[in-house]
Amino acid sequence: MDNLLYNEILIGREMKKVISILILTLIAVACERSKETLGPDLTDRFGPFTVFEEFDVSANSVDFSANQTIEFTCAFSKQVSWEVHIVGQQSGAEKVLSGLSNRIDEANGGIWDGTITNLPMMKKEPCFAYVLVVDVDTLFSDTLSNLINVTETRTINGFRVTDWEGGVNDGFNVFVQSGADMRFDTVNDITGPEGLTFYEFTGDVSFADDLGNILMPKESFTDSNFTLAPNDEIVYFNVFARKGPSAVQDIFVIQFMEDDNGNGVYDAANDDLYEFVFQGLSEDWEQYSTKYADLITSSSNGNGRKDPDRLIQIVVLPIGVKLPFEGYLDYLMFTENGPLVP
Amino acid sequence: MLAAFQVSGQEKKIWVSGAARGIMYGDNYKTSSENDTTTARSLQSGHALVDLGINIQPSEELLVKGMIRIRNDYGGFWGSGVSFDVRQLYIKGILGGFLRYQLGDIDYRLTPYTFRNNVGLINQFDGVLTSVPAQQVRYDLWYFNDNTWRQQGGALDFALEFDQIIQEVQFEIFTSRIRPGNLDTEDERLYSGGSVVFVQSDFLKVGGQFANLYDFKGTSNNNIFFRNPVYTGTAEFNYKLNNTILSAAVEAGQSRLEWQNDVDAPVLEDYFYDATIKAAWAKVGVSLSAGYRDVGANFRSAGAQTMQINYNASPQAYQRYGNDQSLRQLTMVDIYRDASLYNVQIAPGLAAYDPRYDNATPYGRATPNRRGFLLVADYNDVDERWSASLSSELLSDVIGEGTTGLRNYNTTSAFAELRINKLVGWDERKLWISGRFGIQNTMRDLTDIPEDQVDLATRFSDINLTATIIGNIEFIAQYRLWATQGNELIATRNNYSEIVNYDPLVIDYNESLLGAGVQYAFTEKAHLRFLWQTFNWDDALYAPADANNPSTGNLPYSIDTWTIFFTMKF
Repeated sequence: MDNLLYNEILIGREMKKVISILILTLIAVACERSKETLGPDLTDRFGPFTVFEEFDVSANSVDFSANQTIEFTCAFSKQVSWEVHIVGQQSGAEKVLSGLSNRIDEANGGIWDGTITNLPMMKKEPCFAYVLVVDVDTLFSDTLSNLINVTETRTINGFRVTDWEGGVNDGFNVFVQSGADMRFDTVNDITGPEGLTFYEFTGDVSFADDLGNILMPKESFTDSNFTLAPNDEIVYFNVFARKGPSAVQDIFVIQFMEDDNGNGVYDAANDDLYEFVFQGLSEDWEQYSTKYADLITSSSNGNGRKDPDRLIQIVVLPIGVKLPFEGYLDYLMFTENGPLVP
Repeated sequence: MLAAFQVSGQEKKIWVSGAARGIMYGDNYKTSSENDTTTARSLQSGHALVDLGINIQPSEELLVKGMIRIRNDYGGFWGSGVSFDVRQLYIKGILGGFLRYQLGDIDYRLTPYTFRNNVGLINQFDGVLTSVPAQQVRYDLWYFNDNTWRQQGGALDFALEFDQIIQEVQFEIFTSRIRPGNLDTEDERLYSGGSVVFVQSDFLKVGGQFANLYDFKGTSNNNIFFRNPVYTGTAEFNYKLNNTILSAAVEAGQSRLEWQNDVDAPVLEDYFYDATIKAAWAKVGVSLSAGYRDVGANFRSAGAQTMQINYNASPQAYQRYGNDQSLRQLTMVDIYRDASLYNVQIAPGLAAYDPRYDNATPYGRATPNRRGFLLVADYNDVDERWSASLSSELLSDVIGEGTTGLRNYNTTSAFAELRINKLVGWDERKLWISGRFGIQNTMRDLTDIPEDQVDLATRFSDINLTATIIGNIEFIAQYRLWATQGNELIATRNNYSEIVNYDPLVIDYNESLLGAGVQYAFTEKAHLRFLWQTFNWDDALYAPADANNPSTGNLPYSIDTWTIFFTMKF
């Protein structure tokens, strides 16, 4: 009986301590809780819509190569989903800024740094800009009265394999099958995805899967004096591509050949070969990017390891699989720490 | 046969355990709408699989288990459609006679606010028909009745015993890998934690828990580090006073959610407390419990708030339907039979939820921004002739969403089961009938600001019948209804789990399931079932598109399903 009584007294004391500590803790933390409402104010979200400040831009010309930016501004009576579209007048390049706020400004995503949303890339050209508000009962739109003149485009950080601007690079070896209507040549067009020139692969080869190929030794790349990082997880290969209206098949295979034994040439018996395959192209220009680590292994006769720093040449193969092919490529480029941001 | 395969030596043992099943579904789709002439009217699907677990016990202190799943979807032949997967692998044992460890797959939980696999409202009430596929889904996903999450990592636990004041101190620690790093932009993400529980006596336990979902620095080039630590304290008290068993439980704690080095990221900190008292009278089968909790709006606990159902997923069966091939919304039938709709790993933040299936506590007991009472009354006849229960949760927002007005949430459910065979003295036969009716109302009534008003009501009901036909052959039947009507503003959140917008929801829909079948028990662990059910989906707001307006709502339809279900565990 004594032990039982002692235990009950002890339990009572311990319980009091625990409850006291918990209550003190709750009181202490209760004082710190915020009393503000959560999220945007409902009247700010669902009230009537009016424009408080006209759509405007901070400058009418911009040099993106000097890291300049321009700011778009506009103010509304409530939070809305807005889009600012900036369109190159000659190239059709388009950048779309968007946000959900009652102001368009630097703090809410109203800054343009020269990047684009839809290819082609921005050229040195005048641009027009308009704002759209898409989630109010009545669609609101306003266009800037002045054009924005892009005096210089952005400097892209990366290593160009080729951008075709000077034609086919010296040292590139072009092989074309003897099919029908074969066109392996550069095309000059300001609506190209980058610069003024891109490359056309067109033809109908009934006796082979490929239409030919272009062999691009590393020493002939447009930016030849570079070494890629050895980490295949941070190296990316990028290319712009589209198909033409006569394409029945549209597969591109780009082969990456390494010099694993260090003899200065790609040797199929002793070196690795990796591939980047993309197909299902659109008739609009699109960017295709792959991490070097994600390349498909075609042969691993070298060290069996993807070593971007040992890349020695690239081969571009348009694959028609004996069907009519019409495809276009531009701006083959390596970047590090992420895909190309056009 | 396989269970009998056992090799015993003086110390070493090897045996096989696992499960097998064969399922065949025959779905017949119907719609009265003339706007669907393209959806396939009939679909057959199913599979056979076996899980073979090899248990190796080299000594009393060590067990190694590996399990392989061999699955063949019907239609596969000579290897096509057959898959082999490693389903389970772990090593566990005891070091030095006191330190228990497990490496590999571990099933773990802590408290409802730190680490708990919460069952959503739609899955809380098993029916005789709906539980048949649902149990297989839970088996596939490692969802057990003890609310553990399957993790891959390691766990240790041990206890120290004392002679005076404290009987025992129990220690548990674990760590698991939630996400591998990619050496570039994503660090390895780990989940670690543990608990210390002081057992003073059978009457009193006091404990502390810690859980943290975090990025492991240095495993990639990323310099933004996610952190979500949660600290809680618990106390449990049990006492018997004459014929009354009294118990009380308290848990309180706080959380912090941050992205270190991310200048745009907020730091979310908040606290909660939860207290429950319970009185039970075993001799008369009655228990009553009452609780109060307050969970802050910024309380974040990844291990406790990850939902089982991934509401962004689409069902595999009839994923698109109608002439415009729109995505078919999740239904309760999909939730009961489609394992691809579920999460298998805890995730940070607050995922999107579907207010039809729980608008009050979508993230379980740890749902943030809720305070209020829970009341539960249970009665179980001591002769097992009937049972009844009533539970009610009366909650409100702690802080208003976009307004100072607070929502009120009322979730009430009543259940009764009658075992008629017990009443009339048929001890060898089952004749059970049960019914449940539940409501969940969400209200925010501010007459001066119409945009703020919220009025959403969900009704659910369930009737089950089990009757022995002869021997081990039973007839089973079930009717289940789920309906939601009203309007709500659904918060949309950014990647930091902050509310950034609201999606207005207007809904008036119901779905119902009526079915029956026969089940035969070969043994307690092997069953064969033939089931038929008809499922109806109706959306009162559905209107097809016309020349001037897009369609609204969802195309009504029904699906009749025949199922053959064989399950076995060994």
